[in-house]
Amino acid sequence: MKKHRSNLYLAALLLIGAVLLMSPQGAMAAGTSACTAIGNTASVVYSVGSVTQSALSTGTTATFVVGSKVNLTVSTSDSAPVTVAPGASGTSAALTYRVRNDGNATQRYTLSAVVYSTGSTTSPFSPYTASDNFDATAYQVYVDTGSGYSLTSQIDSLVSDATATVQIRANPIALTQANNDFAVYGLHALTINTDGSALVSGSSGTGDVFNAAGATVCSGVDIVNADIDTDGAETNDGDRDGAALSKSAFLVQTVGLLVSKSSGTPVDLFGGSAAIPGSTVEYTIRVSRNSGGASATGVVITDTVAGTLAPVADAYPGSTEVQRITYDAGTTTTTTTNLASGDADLQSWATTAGATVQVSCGAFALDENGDYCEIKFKVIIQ
Amino acid sequence: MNRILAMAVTAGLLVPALAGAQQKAAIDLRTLSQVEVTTTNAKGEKEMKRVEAARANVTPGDMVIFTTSYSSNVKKPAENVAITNPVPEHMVYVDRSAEGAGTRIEFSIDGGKTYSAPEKLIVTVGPGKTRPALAADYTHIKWTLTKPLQPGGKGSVSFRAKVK
Repeated sequence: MKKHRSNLYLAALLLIGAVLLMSPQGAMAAGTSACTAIGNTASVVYSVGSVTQSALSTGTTATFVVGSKVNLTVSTSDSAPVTVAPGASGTSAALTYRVRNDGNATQRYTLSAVVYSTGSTTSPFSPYTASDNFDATAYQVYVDTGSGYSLTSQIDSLVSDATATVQIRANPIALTQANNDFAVYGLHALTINTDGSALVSGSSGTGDVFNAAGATVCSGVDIVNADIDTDGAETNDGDRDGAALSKSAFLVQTVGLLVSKSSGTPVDLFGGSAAIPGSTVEYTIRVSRNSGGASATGVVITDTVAGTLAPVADAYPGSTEVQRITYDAGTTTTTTTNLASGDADLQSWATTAGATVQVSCGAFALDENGDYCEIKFKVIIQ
Repeated sequence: MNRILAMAVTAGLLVPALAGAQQKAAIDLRTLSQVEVTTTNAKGEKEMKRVEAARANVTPGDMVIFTTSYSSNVKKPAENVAITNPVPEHMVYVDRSAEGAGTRIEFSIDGGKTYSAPEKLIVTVGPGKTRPALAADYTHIKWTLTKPLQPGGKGSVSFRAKVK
């Protein structure tokens, strides 16, 4: 009977200890939340003269408070230089980064773009090698707030283990940039308190811990910068400074296209080759790629014939109006398509004098020098 | 009630001791949380010092040493003395860190219901699948004194745990 009571007493004490130790914030990958109090409870049971005595406990004691371990990771989501065309801006010329809170307290991050002077830094993407040689005309920093990107210079608050996506957008890449021009940008994130105040100066100190709303959670605890610099000589990022940096880069890719138009030998009504009313002439218009590193897609060829000419119907096999020929220099593949009036790629067509012929090259991409898209159609001299 | 009072008198105390009344407890228990800090002394030598955890840097990953000292105010030898200590929440026990001279150390992986030597603790990880328990599975530690604790006798037990 006595023993039973003792065990109940011990159980009750253990239960009290457990409740006192409960924290509203659970342990996360970033570690036990800052401001969590941890105590210890020791108990002893014994007997005297073979009689079990009441258990004794220290209660929760020797309590200490977990401090703030400040750590973050900045990385780029880009796996290769972001290719941009001269004149590109906004979302068409965006470098993407991620900022992750590896610490155990909610933090705010001040963001800045690090612009490198010509020749001062090289490609962050192995094995692609290039040296920074230009800057965008201007740039802006955007943060994904969860409901779209917002133009801002800070991540207002980020809880432990959370990641925010940030973009540096060129505004714009100058039209004068040449093929293979290369611009490196670093995203620098500095940890600050959610009330806007600075963290400790130096690698550690004593300070307050704040929640997402900027209210104090606990005061006078240890704040330790635990971020380890992994990029060595990078001057904008040091060991245990609460800041981190990652680089990405723009690679300018231009494309040079050449357009040529030629006419075939006239075929007159008398079996000859005189350019006289009633004679038929075949026109060939070719768009070919001859320089640059970019891919030209969505090529549309438009030609308004002279008022003395009228396009000829049913000039090609299968009663079609226009013949389109694409050539892929990489695979040396020639594809011929006969387009009939009404076909989606034959965007404009009429047999009236002075009509406009407009043909889309469809999904064909002019991605190598020598690639071309050409159209053929016939006209009759009025 | 009479039986409880009789027991208390036999044990040499009138009030069953609670936290805060440790001076008069039959067995006085005191717990310390400390961290080890390396400092350089005047001779330029590195010294390991123990500092109270409440006054030191404690952040996730840091190791804390929990020491419980005991001394007997019982007028007769105390037998079957067993000190138990849950591994505090947010902490993970450091393997083989429990110490206690003259004690048998056992661990629990079921919240203190049962205790065994480390090699006998088995964790069930699925239907018919088990593995040996790891230090991280320990929920409680128990030190059982191998000999009766004599009146005025004292000692201490300790373990280390890391902040998750």
